[in-house]
Amino acid sequence: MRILIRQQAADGTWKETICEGSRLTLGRATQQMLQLPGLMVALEHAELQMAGAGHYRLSSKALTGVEFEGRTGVREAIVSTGSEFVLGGHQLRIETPTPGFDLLVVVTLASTGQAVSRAPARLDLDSGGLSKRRPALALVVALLVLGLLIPLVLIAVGRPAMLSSILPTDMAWSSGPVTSSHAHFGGDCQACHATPFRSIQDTSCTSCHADIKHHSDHPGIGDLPGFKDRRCADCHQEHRGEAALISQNPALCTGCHARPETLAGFDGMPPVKDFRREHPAFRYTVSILSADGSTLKETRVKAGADGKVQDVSGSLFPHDSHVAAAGIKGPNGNEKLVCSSCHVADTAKAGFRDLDFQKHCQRCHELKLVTPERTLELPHGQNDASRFLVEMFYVPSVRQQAATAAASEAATPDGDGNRRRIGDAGGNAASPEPVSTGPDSRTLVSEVFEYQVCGKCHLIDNTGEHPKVIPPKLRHTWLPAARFSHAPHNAVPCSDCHQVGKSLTETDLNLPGIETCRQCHAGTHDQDGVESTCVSCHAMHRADQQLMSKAPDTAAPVSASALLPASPTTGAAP
Amino acid sequence: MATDNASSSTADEVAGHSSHLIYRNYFYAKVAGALVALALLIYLLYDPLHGHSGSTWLGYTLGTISFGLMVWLAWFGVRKRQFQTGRGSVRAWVSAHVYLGMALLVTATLHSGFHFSFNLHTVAYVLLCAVVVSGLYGILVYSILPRRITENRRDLPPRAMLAEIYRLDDTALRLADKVSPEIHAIVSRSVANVRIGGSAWQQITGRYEGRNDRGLRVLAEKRSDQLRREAGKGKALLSTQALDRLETVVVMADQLFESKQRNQADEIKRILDMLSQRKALVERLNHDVTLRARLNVWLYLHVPLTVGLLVAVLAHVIAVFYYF
Repeated sequence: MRILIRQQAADGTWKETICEGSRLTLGRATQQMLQLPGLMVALEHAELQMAGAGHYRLSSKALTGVEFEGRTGVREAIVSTGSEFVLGGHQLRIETPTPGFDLLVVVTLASTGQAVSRAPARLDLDSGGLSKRRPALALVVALLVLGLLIPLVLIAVGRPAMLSSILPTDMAWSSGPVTSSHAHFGGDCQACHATPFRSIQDTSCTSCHADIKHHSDHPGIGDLPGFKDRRCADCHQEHRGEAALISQNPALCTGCHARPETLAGFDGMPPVKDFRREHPAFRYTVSILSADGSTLKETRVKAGADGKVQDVSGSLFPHDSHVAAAGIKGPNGNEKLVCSSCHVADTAKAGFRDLDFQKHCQRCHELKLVTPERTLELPHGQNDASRFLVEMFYVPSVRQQAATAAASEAATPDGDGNRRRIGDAGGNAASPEPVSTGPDSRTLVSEVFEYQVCGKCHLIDNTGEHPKVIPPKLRHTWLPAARFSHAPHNAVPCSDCHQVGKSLTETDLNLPGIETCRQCHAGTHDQDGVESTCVSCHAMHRADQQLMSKAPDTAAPVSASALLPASPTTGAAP
Repeated sequence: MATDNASSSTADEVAGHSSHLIYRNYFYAKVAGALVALALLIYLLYDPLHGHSGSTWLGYTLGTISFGLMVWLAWFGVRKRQFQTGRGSVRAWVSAHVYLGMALLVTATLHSGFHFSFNLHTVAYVLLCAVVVSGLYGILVYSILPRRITENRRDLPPRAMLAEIYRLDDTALRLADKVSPEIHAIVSRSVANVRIGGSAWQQITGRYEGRNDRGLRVLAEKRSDQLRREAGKGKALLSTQALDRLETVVVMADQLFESKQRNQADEIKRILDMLSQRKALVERLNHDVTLRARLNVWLYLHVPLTVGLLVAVLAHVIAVFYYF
């Protein structure tokens, strides 16, 4: 084959050599067709032979071989036009032979200066391939793009569902999961964080919680440090679990209530620190009879010295006789009544269903008026109808009886032999007594209402034209400022808290005092009782106050004195 | 070892060297300790309504302190390159950097209130931990390895070792060229196959492709086989185990060559000497490379992670105030 060798000299000029032969010999020896300098080149280093069109076989006799395609020590290889190999540090490239030649080799000699040319030794980590800049840049880009840019872009385009499921969203900025009650919109941060770089405003909360009420409508409350410029989010914190969203921490309450003397306008309040250690005695909302005896009025009282509270409910019901251990006489003989005979739990078992005369009382208390002609059964709860029946049927009957009795008395000789005629009043001829027709209708009606029937169990209002039963005030709760449910107490016997066996008067309110509750309920952080914080029994947002979404109604101020405890015995406000 | 320590500490005193860790009687350790103690004390005494978090006043304070510390700690990279304009000695900066860097881990953890979750904020915290831990590794190796490097070098710096290796290569090749093509081939292969340094992984593990002693072994094998045949004794003069123990090989080969080829004995002996010297030097140089790699590898984590951390904290602050 005809071989053309192009070699670049040290001065940069190209030298061409032409030779012929069956193979091209390469090496350091002078007789080699392509002589290459350098001690790393063996005297007879390698040979190139034709191996087909454009392909050549390279074979190396030297132990060091050639460096070809990234491998060193190659002894045999097929090289083709366009490929390169390194021999003893020199670079050789096979190129397409010019016409007339079968092999074209381009030689670039290694830079001299040493007998051996070497790749630079990698003596430190930088040359070994490690870098500080590239990873730093990659990390910066990754953090900015994944941590900030993509979430911001997704916010701007409204968080499309498909993209949001595979790309990082602003959920990556969430400091913790939302509570389960908010989880159904928890993925939409703007639902609460309405304005970027602005804290959550109350409107975000009241858009759903529209009916949340104030703690107090007292106009002075807005100036107290605990309430001034407060947002919902100051006390209700999301992303930190249930306990932070609805905090049970008593410090929220005792911050003001522990030192009411420091709060202008509220200094009459009793201090409260802890249920076990410092909590005022219960104040019960009860009824008392108005001065004129016509209605019931509401007041708040503390228990008396004997620990009892009186509630003039308008219903005169003695518990002691009804639940006596020996039983009570019923229509079918002796009956033993228990609490649940009348007090039936409601569906939630939090309280009790209304007492109902028909269901609970009428079996024994029949409201009957017996006359010789008939037995009248008065309708319960209907003053006018009852009066009508009495006037229509009972009064004439009684008067008739009275007249008959008077007449028979007149006919029967009395002590001084006077005879009386029917219709005549009794008495002697000299001073004849008027004939008795019995008591008048008004008196009879009053008797029925006040003594015979209604008044046995009810208070009667006599101030009007006709006697009326004062509608009794049977409350569901006498502690309206507290939240109490019987449901968690259902395992406790009724008599543990309600001392009805010792109830001797009909106005006894047989509710427990704080000492009864303290038998089981302890304060905050106590381990030897039911841990009870303020919100265990009290609501912060009180149902009887105004909506938080409205400003308090300053036109109707509530006086602070209305919040103060009433006198324990009379129930009248101080 | 005690003697070593005593002598080396005397050497330190002579050289005026003292560890940055004990700089100024542990001054910066005390400063960092005081900062940590104060932060812990306030953290334990302050009982916020909804528990500790980054958004209490203490959380904001610790967050600001941590951020400031982070920036100042990162500035060390700038300070240590300010040879003319820098203020404060670099030793003081290093000492402060180490101790305040450890304190940063505490302040940042207290700032978080131990609230961790799969979010950007915890990513920043994890980056911080990685930075500090890599730095702790750095302190550890800096207290152990420099002495070993010095002992290994024996006053010959790496570039000088490399130059000497190259010089030995060249000389051995020239000599081998004069002896025979076979010897030259073996020596040139040995020169080509020597592994000095390598990739980052090889440097750190210290495992370089160990083919640089093969030429010596091949040479000895060839000669012993040849002489065994010629001696006709049919008994192996060199056992396989002996072949593995190169020092023995060198001695034996030396004896064999002298007996057989006196005219080339000198060259061959010199070649063998050079190859063994080179082998020892290559091992020393590679050991130096390995020790220096292990001394510096942590920086390839510490520095990029610090840059990432600064960006992550920036993103953390933006995200926190975006959804304020």
